[in-house]
Amino acid sequence: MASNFNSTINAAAFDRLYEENIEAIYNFLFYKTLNRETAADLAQEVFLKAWRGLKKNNVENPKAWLYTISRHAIADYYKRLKPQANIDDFWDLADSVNLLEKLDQKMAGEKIIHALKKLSSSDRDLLIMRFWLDLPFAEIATHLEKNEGAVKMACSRALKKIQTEAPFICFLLLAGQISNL
Amino acid sequence: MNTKKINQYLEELYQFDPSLKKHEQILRQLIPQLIAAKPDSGFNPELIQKIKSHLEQSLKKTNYKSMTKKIVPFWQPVLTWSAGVIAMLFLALTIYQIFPDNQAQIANKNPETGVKKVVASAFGPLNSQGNVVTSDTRMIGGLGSANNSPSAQNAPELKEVSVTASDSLATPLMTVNTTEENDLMPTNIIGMGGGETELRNEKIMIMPIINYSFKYQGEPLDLSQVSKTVYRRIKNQNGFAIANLLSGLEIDPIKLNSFSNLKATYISLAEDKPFGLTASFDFNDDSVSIYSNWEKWANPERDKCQDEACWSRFRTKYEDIPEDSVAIQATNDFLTNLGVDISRYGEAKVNNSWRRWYEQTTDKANYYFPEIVNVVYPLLIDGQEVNNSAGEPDGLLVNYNILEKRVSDASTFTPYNYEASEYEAETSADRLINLAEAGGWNQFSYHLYDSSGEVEVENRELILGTPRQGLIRFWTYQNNASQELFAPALIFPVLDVPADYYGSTNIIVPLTQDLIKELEERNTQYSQGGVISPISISSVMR
Repeated sequence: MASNFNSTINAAAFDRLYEENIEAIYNFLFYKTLNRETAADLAQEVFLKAWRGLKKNNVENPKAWLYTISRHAIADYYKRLKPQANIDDFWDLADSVNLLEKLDQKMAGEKIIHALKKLSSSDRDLLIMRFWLDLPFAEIATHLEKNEGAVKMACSRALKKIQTEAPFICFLLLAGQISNL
Repeated sequence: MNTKKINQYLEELYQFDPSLKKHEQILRQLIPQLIAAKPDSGFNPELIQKIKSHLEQSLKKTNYKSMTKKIVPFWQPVLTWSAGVIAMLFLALTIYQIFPDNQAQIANKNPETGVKKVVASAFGPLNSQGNVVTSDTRMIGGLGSANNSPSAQNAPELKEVSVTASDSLATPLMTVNTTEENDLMPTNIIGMGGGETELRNEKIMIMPIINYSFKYQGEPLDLSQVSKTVYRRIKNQNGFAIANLLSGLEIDPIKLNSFSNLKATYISLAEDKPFGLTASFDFNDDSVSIYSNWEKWANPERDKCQDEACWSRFRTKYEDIPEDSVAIQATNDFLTNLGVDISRYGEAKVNNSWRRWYEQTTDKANYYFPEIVNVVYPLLIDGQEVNNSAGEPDGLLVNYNILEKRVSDASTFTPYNYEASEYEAETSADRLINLAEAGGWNQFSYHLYDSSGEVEVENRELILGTPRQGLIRFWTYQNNASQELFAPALIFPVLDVPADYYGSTNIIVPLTQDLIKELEERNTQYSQGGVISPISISSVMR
């Protein structure tokens, strides 16, 4: 990908940035909003802001910057939607009802979703990036502007939180009550 | 999911946190489940093009010329020019349809406007045969505010009654205290370790399950005056009329009359000026919403922020938040200028529920204050206030942007056009109170409890006060079609809400028989574990 842009970004480079990142950014926005239309709208907003920003500013790592813009676009979106909400509760607003179309997926999926809801927004971002977007820790660290070790430790803590804060899931897993999806 | 991939995930984590190894058994099952729960984002090549296309619409005003040039239809410039003409036509027609009392209306009022009486039970069954969906099932618990206090205006006449709770509702999920003192699990229950020996040493700490029950301590209910009327919103099919109006146009090189049975579905009209607004017309829903045209609300300083320190400079501060009266004056002016007849709405109320969280937080310095003041104008139908399933006012939502000191959004405007049909209403006060004490309509929480008695269960009783009567908005779905309905209900306030209670602060009990039966059946299902099976920890042990 185009790894570095300066303020003279041209359209061809931006094309490339778009083509190389639209899927990841869209999916990230979707996993954070759980709504396809919203994710598409926000993706458009993110790239528009990126274009404007790249025209004016030097950006060392545009891909990481796209994630930063995305996180703020999500925050702005939820503030518009429910301005009174606590930021860590935003995921509760997402429409998870229609996500799990197959009935046999619903129970298990809901429990995982429910467990993820109990995490902080940053922990949830981490698990989404690692396990849903399948990003390597090194890349996640870059996107979150943290060092890789801190990201791995945070991921480890997030997994432990799921185990301890949602023990019901663990019961079901061990009892074989959640079948493979 | 293949073992190799799981091993890769685990090895990465073990390298940094070897203590995770003792949780390997559960991680080997949890990680695949976590991955399998990944929702389908629906991403596909068409979506790439769709987003690109929309992006191009925004970018074309800049000096950007490459990316979407290749995908923009060659007739785009003509269409853009023609769209101005079309927009004028749409605007004129839709203003007439949506705001029949608007000064800008073209001719006479829509003769259909108002509430029209129809035969009894005209909307079919109101229960799950119609797949009932309430208006706020995604709400965050505890968003109810002081604004939800009972209104004497619509409350039925009351007599003294006190009934003890006969059922209870569990908290959504068990929460955990990681202190050693709360180690409630036998040591060989959960396979959190890497082997039998480690399993026996592993400990899980579980906070008590909190079962909330409700007890009515309001005045006795007199149901002689309760409403039996259910309302249905009538949606005009303007889409065909508007498409018909346009069908003679030629938008080079397309002739619209080459299509058949055209129907307009959506159109958005945006003000091209600083702080411009976008009106989004939904002809299927016969409604219009107004949003900020965000391109025109850009904050160049904030938009170029690249770190948290920069972003935080633009966060709302406590002292920025205006008095309720200031925000309401601004939203009233906005609606008046728009020509909206606000007499069809109840008294405007500001949603100040964030203050509850602010009061509770210990880190006030870093509290994220809302950037928008939510002003709600409850819809009135035949003088009755409409509520969502949390018992909060439901109607027109107008957002006042604190930073820019102006209205940024308003939704959803609909014509005042309803049908009214009578349904059989409940006459037993005891039955209604029993339903209220069982949590009413808006309790969709998981109902988890430990039947083995091995986990501490804490019972808490919350007091319900005298209810008010209002309408509850909900939808039913039948044969791939929906109808938007408004049913009479009693709204019981939860009194003396504990600081750590995150459930709804109102309990809704519908008054029509269809919905009551539905509710009772659901409660029975819960109590029998039909929705979410109660789990016995001892059964897992075996």
